[in-house]
Amino acid sequence: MTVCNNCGVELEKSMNFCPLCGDPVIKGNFRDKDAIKEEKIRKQQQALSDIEKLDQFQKRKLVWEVFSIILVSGIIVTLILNLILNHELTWSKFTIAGCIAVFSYVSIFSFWPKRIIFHFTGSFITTSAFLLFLELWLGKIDWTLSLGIPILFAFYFIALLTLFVIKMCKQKGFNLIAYIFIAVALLIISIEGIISNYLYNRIFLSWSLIVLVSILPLSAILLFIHFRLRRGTSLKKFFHI
Amino acid sequence: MKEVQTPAGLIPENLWLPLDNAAKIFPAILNKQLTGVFRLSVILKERIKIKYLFQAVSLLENRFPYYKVQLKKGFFWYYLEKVDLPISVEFDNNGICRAFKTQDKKSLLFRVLVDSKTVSVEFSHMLTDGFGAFEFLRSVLFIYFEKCGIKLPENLRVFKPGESPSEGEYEDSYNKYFQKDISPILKVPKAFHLPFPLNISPRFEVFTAILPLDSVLETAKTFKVSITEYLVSVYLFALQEIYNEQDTWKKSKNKSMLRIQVPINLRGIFPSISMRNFSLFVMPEIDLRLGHYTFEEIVKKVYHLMQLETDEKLINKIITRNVRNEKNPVIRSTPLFFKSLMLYFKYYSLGTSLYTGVISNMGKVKIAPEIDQLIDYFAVVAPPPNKVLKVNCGVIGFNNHLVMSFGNITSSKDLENKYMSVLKSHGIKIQLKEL
Ligand SMILES: [Zn+2]
Repeated sequence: MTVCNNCGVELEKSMNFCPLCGDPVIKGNFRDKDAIKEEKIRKQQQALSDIEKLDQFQKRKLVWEVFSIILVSGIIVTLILNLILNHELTWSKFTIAGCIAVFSYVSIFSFWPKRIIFHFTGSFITTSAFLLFLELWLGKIDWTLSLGIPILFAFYFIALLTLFVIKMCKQKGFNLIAYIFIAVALLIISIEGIISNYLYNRIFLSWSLIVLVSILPLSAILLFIHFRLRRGTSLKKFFHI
Repeated sequence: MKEVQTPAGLIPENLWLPLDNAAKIFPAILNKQLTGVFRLSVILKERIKIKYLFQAVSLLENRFPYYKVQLKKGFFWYYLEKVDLPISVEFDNNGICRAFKTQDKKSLLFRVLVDSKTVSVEFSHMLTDGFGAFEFLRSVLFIYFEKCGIKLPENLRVFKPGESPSEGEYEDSYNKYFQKDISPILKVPKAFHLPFPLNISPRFEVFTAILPLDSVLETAKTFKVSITEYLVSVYLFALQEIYNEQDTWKKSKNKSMLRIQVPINLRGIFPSISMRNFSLFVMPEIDLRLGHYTFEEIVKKVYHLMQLETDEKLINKIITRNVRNEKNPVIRSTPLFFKSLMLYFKYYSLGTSLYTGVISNMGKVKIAPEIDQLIDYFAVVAPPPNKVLKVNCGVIGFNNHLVMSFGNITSSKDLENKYMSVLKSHGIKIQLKEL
């Protein structure tokens, strides 16, 4: 009779591994060489995967460092060139602002690779700041605050919402297209609202409503097809009350 | 139980079942800690011969199609849908009553766990109650011992591989025995809750005590009550002590109604052979505003309440009340998300605040003399209690062992200790076990 040293069940003589817990069968009191070898390999693999994980972070850090060097030197070079050629700060403002914006994008994506919400807020803030700076340098702030940033915000917000909804979907198919259509309709409504508010100081919707009215039934049809075609799900089962 | 044979193929290939009346609440409230999973264990006298156990489980693989299901989200309700996954047999080293993956992830809602001399089955309460789990375990044991070469009686009433399940096995008996006469809902005052602090995660612990069945029975007899009634009375008595030990401030704040939820197997009252949920609760109580109770007074109160509440007519009323909610067209056609929210709040505001403790007695079990002599004892662990209830208790009898398992999510063993000292004071010898 053989007994598994790990889980204590009785094994067949012919068994080399315990079918319950996967432990190698040990004859006598000491673990046999193969088992020890195997465990070593397993531990090594574990260690390896740790290094791999570390590597990914380091890779991202490397990319970030390379980008920083390129961007900083770009800023310095354009600054010096601009000063030498024009004796004052003129066109380099735009390249510098552009470089700084790119730099913040790269930083956000390398340090929070999995935080979509950070990506969105980060790039929203960066892009808004970039627009603001451009206008500021060009003279007076006109459309950025009342037009540019609200539209940007609507875009980022709706995109984030859509991504979230898509992520929550268990089964992906026609429903995604429907959600994206709805998101586009929402975005168009927001854009028209913002523009009309900018132009006439009141919210006035016309063409975006037509878009909405044509998109909604389309989405409804897509959703219906999706739920109808969900594999193995009959309507009766899904909608039973 | 009568065997109703139906031709194979009666179970449709794309089987799906709406959750039964008792299971409907679960998807809304379950999480990693509140798992809704209970455990039934059998401790054999010899180590498990693992080869035969695997064989036994795989032979029964297709005998219980209504358990080979996963939880799916419908638009109005959750439902169970057939899934082709093998029954998992695992080494039992991952904690007791661990949650099953739900939320549309592919996973069965029950498992078989093995450790040395113990075979346990863990079922999500969405599938069945203690009865269903016991019948399943019993069938596994029967085939296991047959494989081990034990001569077993031919005519033993167990589920055998190759049979096709009868329709009665997966019927929703709540709906079947629902009667039209509708009674007003009784409003009951909220109950006292144990004032103990919760454990940090993983918070669920089980404390097991083995009592000699004969001496418990004898003690119960001296009080002229059944074992369940006796154990409930001890529970209430221990709770009364805990209540009295509170300081005055807490006493004034806490409720003074001690109420125990006692599940009863309705298959004993109705001719159901359902392998899904079919139990209900009676709730014996004492109100401490009326003063201190002696043990004898508690026993008397419990006896009368249990007799009254297990009356068939009253049970009919309770079923009606439970099922009526389900039949309400407004509730039925509320989309799932809102319904889940409603159930969640209803559960915490009404469901659990009404009782102080749970004691679930599966009674004395036996399989067949040939098998019984190879078994040491059985144990049952109720699903981890929620953060209001904090402690519950599962009881099962076998041979001369009455095994009580207290599931506890607090850092206090006060209730268990008081319970044991009441038993000791009645002359019952207790053996404690680490499970
Ligand atoms: Zn093992």
